[in-house]
Amino acid sequence: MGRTVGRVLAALVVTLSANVSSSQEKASGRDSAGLSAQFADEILPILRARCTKCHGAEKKKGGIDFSAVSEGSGLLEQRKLWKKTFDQVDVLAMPPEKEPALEAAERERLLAWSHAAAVWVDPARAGRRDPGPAPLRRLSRTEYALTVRDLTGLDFDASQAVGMPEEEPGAQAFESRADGLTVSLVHLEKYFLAADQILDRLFAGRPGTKPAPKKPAAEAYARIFCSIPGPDVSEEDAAREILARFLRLAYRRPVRREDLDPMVAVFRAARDRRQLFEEAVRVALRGALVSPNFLYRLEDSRPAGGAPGPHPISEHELATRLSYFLWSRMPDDELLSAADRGKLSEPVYFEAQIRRMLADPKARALTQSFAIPWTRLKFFSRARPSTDHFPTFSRKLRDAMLQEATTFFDKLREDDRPVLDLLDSDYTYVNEELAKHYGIEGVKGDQFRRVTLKPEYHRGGLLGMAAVLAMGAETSRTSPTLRGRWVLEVLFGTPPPPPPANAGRLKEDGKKEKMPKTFRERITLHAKDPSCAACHSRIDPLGFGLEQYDAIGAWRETVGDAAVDCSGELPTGERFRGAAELKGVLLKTKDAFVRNLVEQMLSYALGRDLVDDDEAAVREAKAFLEKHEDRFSSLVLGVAESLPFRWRRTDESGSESK
Amino acid sequence: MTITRRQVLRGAGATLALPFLESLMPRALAHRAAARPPLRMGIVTFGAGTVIESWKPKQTGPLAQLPRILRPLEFVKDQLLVVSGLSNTGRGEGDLNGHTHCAWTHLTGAELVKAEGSRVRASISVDQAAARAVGSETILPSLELGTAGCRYSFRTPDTLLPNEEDPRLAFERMFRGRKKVVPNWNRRPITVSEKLDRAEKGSSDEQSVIDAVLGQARDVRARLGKDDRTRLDGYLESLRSVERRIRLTEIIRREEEIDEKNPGPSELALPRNLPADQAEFTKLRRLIEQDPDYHAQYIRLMSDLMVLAFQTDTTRVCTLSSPDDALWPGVVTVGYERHYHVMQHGGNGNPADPIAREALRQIHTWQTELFAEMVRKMEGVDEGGSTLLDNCLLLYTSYMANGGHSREDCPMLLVGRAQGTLKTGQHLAFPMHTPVANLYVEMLDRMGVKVDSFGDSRSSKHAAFDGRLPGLA
Repeated sequence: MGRTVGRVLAALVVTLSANVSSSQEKASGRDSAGLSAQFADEILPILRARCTKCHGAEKKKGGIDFSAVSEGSGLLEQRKLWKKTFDQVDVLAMPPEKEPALEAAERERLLAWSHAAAVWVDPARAGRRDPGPAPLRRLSRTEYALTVRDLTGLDFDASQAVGMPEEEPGAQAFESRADGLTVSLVHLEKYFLAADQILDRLFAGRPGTKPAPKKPAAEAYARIFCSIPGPDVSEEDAAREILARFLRLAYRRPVRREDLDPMVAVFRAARDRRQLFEEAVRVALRGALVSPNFLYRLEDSRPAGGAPGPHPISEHELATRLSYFLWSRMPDDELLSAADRGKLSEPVYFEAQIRRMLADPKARALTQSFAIPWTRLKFFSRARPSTDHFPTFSRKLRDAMLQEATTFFDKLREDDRPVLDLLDSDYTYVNEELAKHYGIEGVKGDQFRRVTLKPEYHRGGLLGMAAVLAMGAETSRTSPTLRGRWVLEVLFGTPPPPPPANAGRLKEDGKKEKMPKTFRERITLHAKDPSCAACHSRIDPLGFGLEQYDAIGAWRETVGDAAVDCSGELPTGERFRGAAELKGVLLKTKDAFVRNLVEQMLSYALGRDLVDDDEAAVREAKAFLEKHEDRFSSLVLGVAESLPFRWRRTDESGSESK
Repeated sequence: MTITRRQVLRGAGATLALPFLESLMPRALAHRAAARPPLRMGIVTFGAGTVIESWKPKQTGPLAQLPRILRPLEFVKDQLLVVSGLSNTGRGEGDLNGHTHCAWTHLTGAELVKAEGSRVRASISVDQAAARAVGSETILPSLELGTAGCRYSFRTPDTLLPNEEDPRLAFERMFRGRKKVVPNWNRRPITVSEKLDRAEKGSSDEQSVIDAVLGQARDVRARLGKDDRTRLDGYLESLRSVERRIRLTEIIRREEEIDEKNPGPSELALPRNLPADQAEFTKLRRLIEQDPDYHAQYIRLMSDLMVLAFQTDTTRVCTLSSPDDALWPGVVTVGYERHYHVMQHGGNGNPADPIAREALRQIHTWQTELFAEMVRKMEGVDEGGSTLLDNCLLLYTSYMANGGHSREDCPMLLVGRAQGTLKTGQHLAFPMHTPVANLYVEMLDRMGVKVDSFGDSRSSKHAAFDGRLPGLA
């Protein structure tokens, strides 16, 4: 395994140093001049004739405007536009139903071209691949709390205690995205408040304190006060030693003189104000806890002493990136000392460290900070089904539903399972509460355990999980639309556009005399409206396939007196009946699923949206994953080995003098 | 928009009345003028819009019988100013949904709002524009209270401010290391910040920590690239505010010590049922989404805090975001249960579901009842010849016009005469699509912030009335 990573890295180095633009071109299939010429001759006429009426300068439906693109420069830099074009045309969502379909030949041309444009890699850049931006990141709310825990050794959630604001990541993103990590006065107030509370707790462990300190606090205090002034040690030397040790951990790197001196000065000033020695050190520690060096993950935008240009990040920067990627917290001793010794970036050692980290319970952060937001389960508490309609949907059952998902993710990592288990699996994790909900017999107690699934349980993969299904429901009923959207958005990364303002909603039950139609007929009626059909013909059928799960994800054969209609037909003509067949259809497009998963994880690790330059990294990570039986660890390794994760570009303005 | 702090003189009334030359007289002289409490800006935003036919009076001009949703405010009818026809027409780009599009134009009146991944862009919001000017006089420049799925306050075009969700923490933030004193406005000057310039920089622990950290931040910044510098600016600016506040707190503390012996006439309006600890709030927070009684309790608590913050001059700019539809309990009303969100869409669909629409009327009326409780409380706070309500510019509004994500004919209700600068007791109707931002220009004007334009007040294709709203005064 170590050797394989080594090879990837070696290949990467070769890619960077030698000009391998030809192979890159082969991968994309076309050169830019060809694509550009073809655009002018074949594609632009189609867009003008068939698309710009709605997606032109005037209407810009769905935010898409083809009138602005022309052959030549910039054409191929609109990767997202061409990806969207491909996706929409591919599933026959566009042109919408009310418009005549594209001719077969037109459709083929448009698909082939937009695909090529979407995956095109600039050959001029291929020889000097760019790691893309590496925006400055503050510690997120979660990262801050976990980092404080590690730094002090205290079992204390500082973020919760001071009400650190929730990050505003946008509906589709992870908490630790650079763009969402803004700072306002409220944050600063909270950091100061948190610093005081942290230090209060630490000083509760001071020897001689009454009541007598508890052991963890006493130990935490002793760790911080690693030096005591005495006959041979001056107060200032002791303070210096204490602060040097603390700052190395807090700043996650070797301490420089310019880090230490100002803090020692703070100590000295406080001591001059006749504070006790420990109290004066405390003032300086407070400074460290609100320092930008602690609160931000700072990286040097220029290689030490090197020429500007893309360069590998330093050992300590790598330790920090890795630690926040896998653990959402500061690097531990082993990582820091590996970085001190300059060993971390050695391929074999790097992989070994990643495997060690994945095996550590701290890696549950990947479940909480990556998987749960990715699957939108962070919003599970807002699932709408009501206990009036579903009396069993108790807090206990809700908790069990969510825990099935978190356990599944944890075990996927711990057992290094193939990521395709997320699409379908022959096992899941349940306790008695959930087993009862699923009709699985013989499970007793609150403990979660692995069960091997039989077909008659109708479970397996994310789509068999009650938590996922219950999010796709309203108060009293299922919502095939919400479920379909979840499949497109979460599993395949192709979210449909939001509905327009004042789009009609389904009539609810309760007025039966006016609405004699079945639920299925009503939803289909809505989707027939031409302005709705373009999206709903793509979204709803996926949800129809899951109709045998009720609003809280229990299996059902009938609704009222009628058998459940669980048949679906995609715009492509593909038909299926029920969840098992639907999963079969989805597995056929597992390539798109895997690519999306790689993109999501890379984006998570980098704390930013992916950019064109990342395309090669995505491909390499995906290829690496597929080569290693889709194992979870190889997903992580592929991302951690990628160029944008290991390197950064020089920011020209960073070279300005003060 | 350009605002300079120096443009703020005193309460708005004084500013408006002053002739040109007089308005340039030195500030020190200015506040030897007759004592008067400062003007405060409060904005209460409820979720999911309103039901317009039960909000907007049928006639313009003097208010006759109030529409149903406003009826709980009958007791202050002569202090109500219903402004209708105002709309937000700012465009949206990127990964926006109906809610974020509405939420980000809500208090900004922005011409364009944008979301790319987590990158947010609109323009400064009206509360923050006011806070930039008057926020320098108080312990907190502004206070954002409440919990909602969306946020509304933009400190800068790309910084959305978080809400303080936890009432206990908000309370502690207001009074940390500080006594709770009712200011005696007959004595206390409403501007103290100029003393800051003369105040010596203290040599406290606090100060030395900040000096050291500021030094580090500057070093760090010098090593960063252009984009990252912008990212760090929020930190730097906030750190400077913290520093400034340490000195300001010292000055205000001295004023409060004087007032403590001879305080203002009102009793301290302390909040009811402040959660005792974190666990209690965590429980309350969960119940907000499950039980309308707790939902109401939470809104009452946060309203109490707004009143207290104004009464004690902790801040002069405060917003309260009441939990929006995503955080609403399932609602049982008019005989059937629906999730509030579903009801909003049903009641605003085409055709609208009449039962859902009736349910919405009931819910919105109930919300106004809670707001009315706060207004009553403000009316009860005597500031020495005038009530807190008299000294408030209070806006009761929603971030949407209705539950169908509309931004057309937004519910806009001003309460209180804002120190005599508003002609209340009337309904002013403006042509549909008149920018909401025009109202914000008027509000800022009363806070002493003179702006030529705000949001899309001049750039909207519906721009009208020279970016103002005639008839308000």
